[in-house]
Amino acid sequence: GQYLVMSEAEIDTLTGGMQRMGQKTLLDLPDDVLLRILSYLDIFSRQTVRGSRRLRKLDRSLKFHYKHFKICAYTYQDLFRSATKIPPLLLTDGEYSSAAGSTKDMTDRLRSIMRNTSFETVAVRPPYDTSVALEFKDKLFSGVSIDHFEIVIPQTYFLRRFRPTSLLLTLNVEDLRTLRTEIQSAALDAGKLALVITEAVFVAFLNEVYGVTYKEVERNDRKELRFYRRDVVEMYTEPSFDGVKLHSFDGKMETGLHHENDSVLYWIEFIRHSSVEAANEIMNQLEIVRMRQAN
Amino acid sequence: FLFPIKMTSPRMIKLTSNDDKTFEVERDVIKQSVTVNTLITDLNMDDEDVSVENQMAIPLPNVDAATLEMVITWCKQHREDPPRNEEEEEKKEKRTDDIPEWDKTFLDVEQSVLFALILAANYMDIKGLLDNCCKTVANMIKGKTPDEIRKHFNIKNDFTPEEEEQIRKENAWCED
Repeated sequence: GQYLVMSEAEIDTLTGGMQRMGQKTLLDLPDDVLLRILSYLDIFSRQTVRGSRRLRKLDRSLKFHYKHFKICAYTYQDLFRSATKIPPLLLTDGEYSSAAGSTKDMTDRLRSIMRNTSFETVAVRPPYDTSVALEFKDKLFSGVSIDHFEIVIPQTYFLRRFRPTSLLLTLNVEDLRTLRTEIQSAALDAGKLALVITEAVFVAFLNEVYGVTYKEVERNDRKELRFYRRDVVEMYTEPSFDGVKLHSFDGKMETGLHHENDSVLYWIEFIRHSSVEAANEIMNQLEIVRMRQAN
Repeated sequence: FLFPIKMTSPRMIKLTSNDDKTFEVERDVIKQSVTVNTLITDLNMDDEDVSVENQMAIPLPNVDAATLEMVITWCKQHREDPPRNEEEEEKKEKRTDDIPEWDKTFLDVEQSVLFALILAANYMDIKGLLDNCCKTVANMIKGKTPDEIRKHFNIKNDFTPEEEEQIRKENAWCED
């Protein structure tokens, strides 16, 4: 007979040394156990864990493994158009005060988020330069105990440094000024602090964590953000829609988001297996506001 | 007057590994395994009239003797742990820096042993052990590049160069 002669190294390459010896390896673990392991990794480690097709597939499924996640968007013209099931993520337009009629709803929502989620870091994007940022920080968070404050320029470093796990906010200067008191008192009430990030970071985060990306387009002298899923080939192209449509993760066309200027406020409720109640509570509140607007 | 004192020894359960080694373990210790616990209940093995000698051994066809021994050691160490409330556990923040010191030392073993332990914990449904094992593996993964992870866990890179390039682009945002 004929024999295929292979070196041990070759066999190792083909089968993996440990499997050859009948020993268990990471990929011998069933999917549910691997998912359990992946769930303990932050988003950065989960990026790097994509070392094989199976791990990558599992990792990507984990992103959408959260049971209760929703997306909302509202504009000052048309408050929440709809809510759909995607990760625990709230988007909202910076024109909330004129839309909601008061900042009370927003304050309540902020308080609700802060009470029901755990977030640890406050960071503020420098609006202009370092000195302005420091001044800004002092004004914004005077009276709030901040464990850590860092002025960060490169977005990637920012994300790596802070490793956000629960809540991200991105606010422009005006929003921050308007919300200063509310954020401050809400943070004080909750004994927690908020994480404030830039819109660009937010978009990068959206892209990677939720598989959603966007294009900025101009139409009728107005900037719009078109969000779409990275793996959905066809972006929406419905011209009559005033705003932007987002493909929901179950494949149905759902949410509209209108973006008119720089005053955009995004909330991301980034809930990891936990604050389902918080998400639901927020969603209920948003729904109440939406209904009020509709009536 | 002297009264005879009846010494009650702990109820023992027999478990057999897939390589036919039988272990006797206290009922109170092995109750942490939902699988075994359910079997004991379903098979009415809590009947105190049946001595351990006459008791049927519970076969564990997915667990070898060495691993089962480790599982039993872990269960003995954690016998006093309060019962887990899985709903509460699910709500907890996912962190990996809260593995008890004893478990850290206990789980500082070769990968193949750790993975065998994970499979056993999963099969025997011992959530506490499974969680601490998974956290240990997660800690091994953290901070490593994809290549380092492949090397560490002996994972074959099964991506095409095109796919790798795509992944590299996708991950560029989180690289320094």
